[in-house]
Formats: sequence, C-alpha cells, structure tokens
Amino acid sequence: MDVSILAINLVNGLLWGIILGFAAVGLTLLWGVMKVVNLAQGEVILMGSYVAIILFAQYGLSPLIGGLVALLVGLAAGFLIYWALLHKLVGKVERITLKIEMSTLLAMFALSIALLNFYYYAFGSEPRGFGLWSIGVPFIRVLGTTIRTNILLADALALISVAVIYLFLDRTILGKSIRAVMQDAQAASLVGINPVKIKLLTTILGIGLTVFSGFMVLLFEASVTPEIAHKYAPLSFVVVVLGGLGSVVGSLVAGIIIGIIYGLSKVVVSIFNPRISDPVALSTAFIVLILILLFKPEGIFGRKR
Amino acid sequence: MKRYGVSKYVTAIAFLVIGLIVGAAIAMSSPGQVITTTVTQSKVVTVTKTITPAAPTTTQTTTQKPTGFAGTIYIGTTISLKGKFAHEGEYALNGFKVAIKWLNEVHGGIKVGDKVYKVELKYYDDESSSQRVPELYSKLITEDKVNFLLAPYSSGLTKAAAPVAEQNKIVMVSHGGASDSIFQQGYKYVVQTLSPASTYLRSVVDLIAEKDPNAKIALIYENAAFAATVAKGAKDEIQKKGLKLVYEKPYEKGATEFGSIINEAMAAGADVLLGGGHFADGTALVQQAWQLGWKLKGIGIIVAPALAQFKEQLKEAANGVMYPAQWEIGVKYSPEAAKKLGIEWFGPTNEEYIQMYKEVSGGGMPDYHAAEATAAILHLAKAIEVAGSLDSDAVRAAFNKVDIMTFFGRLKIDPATGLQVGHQMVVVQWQAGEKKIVYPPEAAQASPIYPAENWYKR
Repeated sequence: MDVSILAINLVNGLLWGIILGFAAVGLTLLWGVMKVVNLAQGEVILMGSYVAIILFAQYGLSPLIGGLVALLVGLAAGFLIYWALLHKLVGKVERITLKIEMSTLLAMFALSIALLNFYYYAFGSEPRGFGLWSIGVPFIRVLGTTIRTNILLADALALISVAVIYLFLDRTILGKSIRAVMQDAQAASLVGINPVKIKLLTTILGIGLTVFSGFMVLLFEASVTPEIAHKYAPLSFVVVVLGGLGSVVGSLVAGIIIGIIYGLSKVVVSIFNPRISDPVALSTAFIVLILILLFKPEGIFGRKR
Repeated sequence: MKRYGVSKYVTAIAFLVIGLIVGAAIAMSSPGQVITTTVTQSKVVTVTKTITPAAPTTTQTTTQKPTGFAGTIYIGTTISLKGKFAHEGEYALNGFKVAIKWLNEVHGGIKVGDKVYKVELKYYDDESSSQRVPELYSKLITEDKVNFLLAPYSSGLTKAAAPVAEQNKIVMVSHGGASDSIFQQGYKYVVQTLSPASTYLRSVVDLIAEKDPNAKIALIYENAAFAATVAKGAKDEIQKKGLKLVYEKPYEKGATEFGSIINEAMAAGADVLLGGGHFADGTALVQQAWQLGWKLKGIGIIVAPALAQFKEQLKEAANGVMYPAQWEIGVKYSPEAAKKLGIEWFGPTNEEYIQMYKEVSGGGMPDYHAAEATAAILHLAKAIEVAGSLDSDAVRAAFNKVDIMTFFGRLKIDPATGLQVGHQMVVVQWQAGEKKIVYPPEAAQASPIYPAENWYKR
C-alpha cells in the first residue's frame, strides 16, 4: 500500500471529522437536554450555508461576515423554533414521556420537509458556494497532502467554537444550569432553575450552533446542494450516539473517530476494489453506530443511565 | 387521467379549427399562383417559380399543396411536455418541427421510388413517465397507424418504448437515448442518431493523443451507469491510442468533496483530468482541482461545463476546460466538409437550421436536444429514400447503407446493433469565457488550447 495514499486519507478524514463533530454539537444539546430529536438537523445545517451564500452572491459580502451573520440568524432561528414549535410541546412539561418525544420528533420532521422544499424552491438543486474565494492562498501542503485553506479555516472555527461552548457549559452558572436540567429536570426545577428559560436557551444554542456549522460545512464541501442535508443528518446521529448524548467534547471526539474510520476504510477497501471504496467507507460509519448501540449504548462520554 | 382527457379534446378542437382555416386558405388560393421564395443554402438563391401541383421537385417553396404528394408518411412519437424532461421535450418538439418543415417545404417531400410523400408527425405527451410510454406507442401503432417511430427523450423512456417497436416490427429512431445498453438487447428495429455514451470522451482523448502523446491521465467519474459507461469508453480509447492512465477512481453519487481523490491523483503524477458525472459533482471536481493547485494540461469533463452556470461559478478556472457535446451552435459541418469526406450532404446547413428553428419556435435558439431530434428525422427520411419503400424491414436494411453528413454531423450506424458509429462528439473548450468548438477539425471554430496555460503554468 502506498504510504502517501494512507496519509492523504487520514489527514482528510481528520479534517472532515472535526467538521462532522462540530455539526453534531447542536444536536447533542437539544437531544440531551430537551429530548428533542432534531430530524431537521441536515436542513438546519444548510440554513447556515445558504445564509452565507446569499450574502456572498447577492450582496457581495465576505464569507467571513456571512459566517458571523449565519451564527446570528441561527440564534434567532433557535428563538423562533422554540416559541413557535417546541414551547407548546415540551416547554412546561416536567417529565418527558414517549408521547411527547414522538410529537417533537414529528414536529421537527415536518420542519425538515418544509425547509428542504423551501431550499429547492429558493436555490434549486444546483450547487451553490463561494466560487473560487479563499482566505489568503487557496491551498497549502501539509504532510504530503495539499489542503484547501478554506478547510483549515473551517476546522479552526469548529475547534474554537467547541472550546467556547465547552467552557460555557463547564464554567458559567447558566451553563451549569443547562447541565443540571440535562441530568434531572425535576430536581433542577426544585433548586430554582426555571426550566422554560433553560429550554429556550438550549434551543437557541443548539439551533444556533447547528446553523453556524453549516458555514463550516460549506467551507469544507466548497459548494452545497439541498442534498447535502441527507449526508450530514444521519452522520450527525451517529456522532451523537457515539460521543454520548449531551456531551460536547464527546461529539467532537466521535466526529474525529468517524472521519478517521471513514478515511481508513476507504484506503483498505480501495486495495480490493476502488469502485466501491466510498460507499463501503460510509456504511462503515453506520456499522459503528450499530456496534455502539449494542455494546456501549451510553456512548464514549455519556453517563450510564 | 381526467386532465389528459380534457387536453386531448382541446387539442382535437384546436386541430379542427386550424384544419378549417388551412382548408379555407387553400380553397381560396387559385391554382398555379406565383410564389417568390428566398432560401439560404450556403448561398442566397432567389427562386421564382410557378408551382404545378403534380410535379413536386427538389426546388424550394414555402407552401406546397398537399395534392402534390402521393400520400403522407406518418411518424409517431411521444414527447415529454410535462414532468422532468419537459424542458428537453420542448426543444425536441421544435427540432422535429424543423425537420418536417424542411422535408416538406424545402426538400419537397420524401421521395419513395417515383412517388413523393409528405411527412407528418403524430405525438402524445408522455409526461416524462416510462409507465405511459408503452401504452402510447401501442396506440400510435394500432390506432394512428404510423409508418415509423421516433423514440422518446432519454435512455430510460427509450428502453420503455423499444419493446413495443420491436414487437410490431416498426423502425424506431433514437434521438435522446445515449445509453449503449439500449443497443445490446438484440433489438432489430431500433437505430440511433446521437452518439452513444461510450463515445462521449473519445473525441477528447483523440485530441489529447494528437497534442500530447505523453499525457498522464486521471479518470475520475461518478459511480453511476451513464458516467461509468462514458469512463469505460474513455479507457478503451486511452488504451487504443497508447496513452497512460495513471489514476482511476469512481466517486459516489452526490459527492461534493474531492480532497482525497485529487490528492491521490496528484500523487500519481496525473496532468490530465477526465471524467465527471452530473452538474454538481463535475463543477465541484473542477473547482477543487483548481483550488488545490493541481497543474493540469488538459481537463475534459462531461455534462457540467456545458451549462452557463459552470462559468459563472468557476470564472477563470473554467477557461481551458473541455467538454464533449452532441452538437453546439457554431459547428462547422458543411456540404464542403462532406465532399471532402466523400459522403453525401443531407438536410439544411447549420445557418439554415438555426434560421428555421427560430421561425418554428418563435425566436428561440436550438440546443443539442433540438438538433438531435431534427437529425433523427433527417436520418430516417434518408433511409426511407434509400429504401424506396415504406416497409419497415426495407427501411431498416437501408439504414445500414446510409452514410451521410448533416448539420448535426456524420450519421452512420453499426449494421448489427443499430448503434450510432458515424457521429462524433464535438469537443468544446471554454476559452477566455467563451465556448469554442475545437475538435474534430471539420466542426471546429478555434484551435484547442493545450496545455491549458491558466491551469498548467500557475
């Protein structure tokens, strides 16, 4: 086996894994704290991509400003989604039953269909992106691999964001309240934590981060179509389950693991049959999901329940 | 179903009204009137001619009395006027109309032995649905009693129509089914006018072989039936021409990120990129090859570069990129080129074609879907004339003898399978933001830029 091919795929797998991990952070928060299974994950990610694209293509704004606006739009979207959709379903509920989980799941599913079709209507099925824009030089060489600088920018932003959100949850009162609600909502309300406020905050954060990750997904993929939703949504679920529900760091680590497994299996399968290497590598990620559910259902960083 | 029924009645009434108006117009015109027509055919000729109804000739007139024909040849087809191929269907319909207009009005009808026949098209809307196709083709054969068939648009729909044509032993000409597999089923009555998928990149490979025998080629293509057939054909041609294939990789459908693949190809030392699939992946592949600084001498990608959005998105990176096309406005096929090859020219010239298309479509410009459709009818008309008969078996046998050049290019089929082997894909290259036909020489408008300076010397 060619060493350079191994290096190329490992580096690319790692770079992709970081994006994948960050894209799942919002999902893990919503799911962990509020038991809201965001089936619109892929479409919410795309929201960030398309916000940045509109600002770039229609108004000629730098993608960096587009990324910032995407984050703000994401936070606003979180606010809207909470009050329009989730508050009635889970806002005042202390104990989340299976019935409530199902209704939030269906509500998010409806949102996903609505958003996806809106994207097709508004942007068509053609790929949209930043064209040839890049931050500084378009590429650099690292470890025998040529890497687009846009990917490095995306990874840097993702790592910084994960660090910030980790510190927020770990060090601030508000963050600690969120974790308290995640562990036991009833007990948290007994010690004076307002569950509605925490749920609103979690939704704003969860949706905001997911939308923001769309900007990084776009930087990584170079261009997006509405189809991208179907690539990232299922992988996000794998990452959340592998990393452990509600764990931000777990999500990042799991993303990196999936990315590297993906890269490695591509190399291994390529030796036997290059034609099938990509689909096999993708299915490997889901085989990991099944194995995790069978043998370590709480995930790497999850708490045993 | 109900909607279809209503539209049928509306169409019927519309035909009735048009028929009445035309009938009245014919009744009012006196026989032997003098008609002045100006026809462009490589040079402008003004024909002033008194029409005698019984003697249709090759001379050109704008109105030809139906009484001048020994009868009518009915060509049946379905067209996708609704559904996912509606866009292509509209072009195809206009393309058919141009061919029929040319045959009836310019060519003076199809000559079958010593008789001359008028041509008429009978069609239904297949709504881009392969379920509708067999039923409608049966209807065309049994109820409308059409003499010959044209396939629907796309390989999928052509595959649905072919068994019906085959069962009824009626010649069917494919104008929009590029898949090679249609012609591997042992069908005896299906013939192809457009180039099959396996030849899509052949012209690009030939061009590279002429320019750069030491080229190191990377073949990166979508892992789907069409692109894989294209890649297989390219691979065969690469071997035939003795070129080096240093890297080959199919990527999954819908792929957008090509970092690993491009890095692997660069590590293999490739300096020519061939492949692609659909618009999104093809564009992304070229974009990332550019952004990763891949020094390429030649880039040949199917589908994506043909669209204007390709240039809009890739700007200077689009320059130098080549793509194969069945036909493109500006191709230089001409009666002179045909003479050079020692084959017969048939049909309108490219200038005449575009002019007639504008008239038929109300000011539109043809694209390759339209050109394929027009060429299919011309191809069929020539075969009928060679056969001197309206019998499908005779016409199918005559197709084997037909080797002509049209505005669409050369047309010649493989006798055994009906696969098109005469027509060559033209290679179009983006040069300074413009599409230029660069290959083959008989169709070219400009010389190919190879190596692509902007890609190779950066």
